[in-house]
Amino acid sequence: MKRVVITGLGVVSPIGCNIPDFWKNVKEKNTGIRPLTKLNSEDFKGNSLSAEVFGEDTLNSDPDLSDYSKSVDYAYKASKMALIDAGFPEKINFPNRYGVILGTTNGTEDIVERTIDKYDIQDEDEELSSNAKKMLSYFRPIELSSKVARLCGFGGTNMVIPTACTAGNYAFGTAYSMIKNGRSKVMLAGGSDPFTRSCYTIFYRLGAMTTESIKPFDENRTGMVVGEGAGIMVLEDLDHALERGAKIYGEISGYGLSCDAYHPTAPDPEGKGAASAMKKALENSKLDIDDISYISAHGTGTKANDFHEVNAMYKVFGEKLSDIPVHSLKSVIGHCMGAASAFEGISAVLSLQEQVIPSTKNTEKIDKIFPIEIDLNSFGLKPAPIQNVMSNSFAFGGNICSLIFSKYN
Amino acid sequence: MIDHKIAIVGVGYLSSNGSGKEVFFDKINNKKETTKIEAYDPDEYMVKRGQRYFSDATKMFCNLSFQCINQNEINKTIELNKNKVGLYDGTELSNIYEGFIFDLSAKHDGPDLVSPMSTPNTIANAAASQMAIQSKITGPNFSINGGMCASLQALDVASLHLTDSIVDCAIVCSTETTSKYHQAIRDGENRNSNLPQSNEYGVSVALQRVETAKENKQEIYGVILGIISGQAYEGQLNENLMTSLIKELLLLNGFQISEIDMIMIGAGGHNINGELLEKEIINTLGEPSKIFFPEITYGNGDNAGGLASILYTIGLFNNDLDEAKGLFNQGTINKEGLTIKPKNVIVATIDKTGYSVITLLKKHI
Repeated sequence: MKRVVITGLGVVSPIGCNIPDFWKNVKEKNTGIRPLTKLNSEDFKGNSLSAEVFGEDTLNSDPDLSDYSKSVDYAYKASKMALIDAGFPEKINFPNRYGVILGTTNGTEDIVERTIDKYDIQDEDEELSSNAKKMLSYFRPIELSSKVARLCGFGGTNMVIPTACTAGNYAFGTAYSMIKNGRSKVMLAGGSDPFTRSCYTIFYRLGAMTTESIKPFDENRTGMVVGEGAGIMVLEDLDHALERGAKIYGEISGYGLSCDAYHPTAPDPEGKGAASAMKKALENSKLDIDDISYISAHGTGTKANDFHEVNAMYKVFGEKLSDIPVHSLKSVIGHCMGAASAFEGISAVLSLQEQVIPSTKNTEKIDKIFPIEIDLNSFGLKPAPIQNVMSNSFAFGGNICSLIFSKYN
Repeated sequence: MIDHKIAIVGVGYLSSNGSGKEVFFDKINNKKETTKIEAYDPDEYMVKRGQRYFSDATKMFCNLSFQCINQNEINKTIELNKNKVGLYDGTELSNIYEGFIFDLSAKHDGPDLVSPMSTPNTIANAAASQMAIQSKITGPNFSINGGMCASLQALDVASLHLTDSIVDCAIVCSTETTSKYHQAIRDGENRNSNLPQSNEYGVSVALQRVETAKENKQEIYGVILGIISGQAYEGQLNENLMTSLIKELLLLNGFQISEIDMIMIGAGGHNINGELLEKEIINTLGEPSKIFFPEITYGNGDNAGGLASILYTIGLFNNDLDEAKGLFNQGTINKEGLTIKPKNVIVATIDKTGYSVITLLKKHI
């Protein structure tokens, strides 16, 4: 079996559209959460925050992808950045079976909204004009991976994994399996999501959004903030990377998939599914709980998620959990849906490279309802030997993926 | 390319004509028409509570999965360890109707009047997730968008998970629902196709490793030897891409083109010029196999077409389909009559984006 290493990173995010800015803002806890601009906040009674992409104007906007979903545009920009970072040209110009796997929550839903807005569609009975139909034809979700593959000259497998907020990790895991099994030498993998009215409305109606700040695992946590963007990694067969002298950020050691089989939108409070995924990830990586240097949590800052996540971590790590640092990136970057776990993975990889653990913003007092007190801040960027990072991600429908990033030795 | 042999141990089918593989074979053998489905779970596998909130695609997915579980003693494997069973949905537009209605309501009625109960249906993982809830299957829960290749793409991921022992059993489903928005997309892309519309249908397969199926003494409907996929480069013709993928697939499995009895273009047949494909295959691989466009019998396969072709192949492997009635001959490029009883079949799908997924199937003897 092949080893799978990370050789390139790219981000289009609420905390910057290049890796140095992204990482600086993660470490300095500079927030990407700002006033909502893409919707009228008056419609959402008191909810006026969002985590919209920041700094996109610094990126080259060729080619024009305005007919496509914004998720395609974000994914392509982040892919191009990751390819260049990995030492590839932005378009591969020789025959290959390199692949593209992208995870998403809302996929191309912005095309539906664009069609409704532009053609002022009032209700279900209204017939669509031929121009509206043409616009709607860009909804086809496969365009997300296929367009990126065509633009980057990637001739291998490509697919979109719409497993909501865990989709980025699903993409990393599937790409890892493809390379490990010799199916491909290089894969672009990650997550991409546009900002949509539907998504904002969903979390508003579920009462999951905060009007203050995201305080993961805090006893006074009040919810999450909807975000957007794309995070992409170049994953590569180790031999292939060594052969071309690529710089290596780290490697993927393994992953675990499970499903709560509990509720369409709520996590299992006992965290059985999440614990199962973490155990599978450890087993798949041939690692033990003592090998995990820190946990990059899903940590949304909602009552339900954080409670179930600590229960799950406790099931896996037991009392040792109090000694393992936990980080929630969402306190800084918001909840960027399908891109969320992709950003968290990129942050984990950068922390492995720099050997520092970022700390969590806003959390002051860990909720006493948890079975154990977790450590979110005491390590605060002090140099620490980091060997393996477990990255958790959960989604509506109970879809779960835990993945382990490791230092490349 | 997967490198383990995967057994197909269960199959399901659902259309307006009813459920079960025999309904599909009857449709093909007797040229039965289908319409929009009225009963999406005619076998009443699902629990009644909450069904009114589920999308049509979700109900179809659950019915199709339960069809597989309730045959060939597959439930015994599943009951052994539900954490090692995977659910895979090869989908593409399953949530467009719900997404449209949700956003129309959010925009015109305001966010406060949108029903939170309708939210899961706007996300494409709703169907497989609901099946997990219905069946308490806690293994990998996977939804995959792959255009017209979606069902074979899901089959590929499921096979990869079986090969890596991530799962011991995989249920792969693909559903086709219809709505004015599905039709609007077809109109909007100016699809150049003389093929009939498929109407609503869904297909499922249950997969296990061949050695597991043999140990359990289960009936094996067919064996998946390999799956390969690729994206056409700028300027590359779909026929050229498909030929190169077939070449690679044959090479990896130690097959010659002469050993392949039939190549079925299960979905996206309108993206392929049959004569050009035949020419490409002759030039690259030698004497061609029979190239068959089964969509002429079951209609535009779209994302479920790959699995429909696999069901078609299983019908041929196991003599459930009666090609003597002439249907088999209709869609072929080759003009001579066909009386073959295939043993090795390639099922290919191709999307308008130039993406193709191809699988090699073998009759289990």
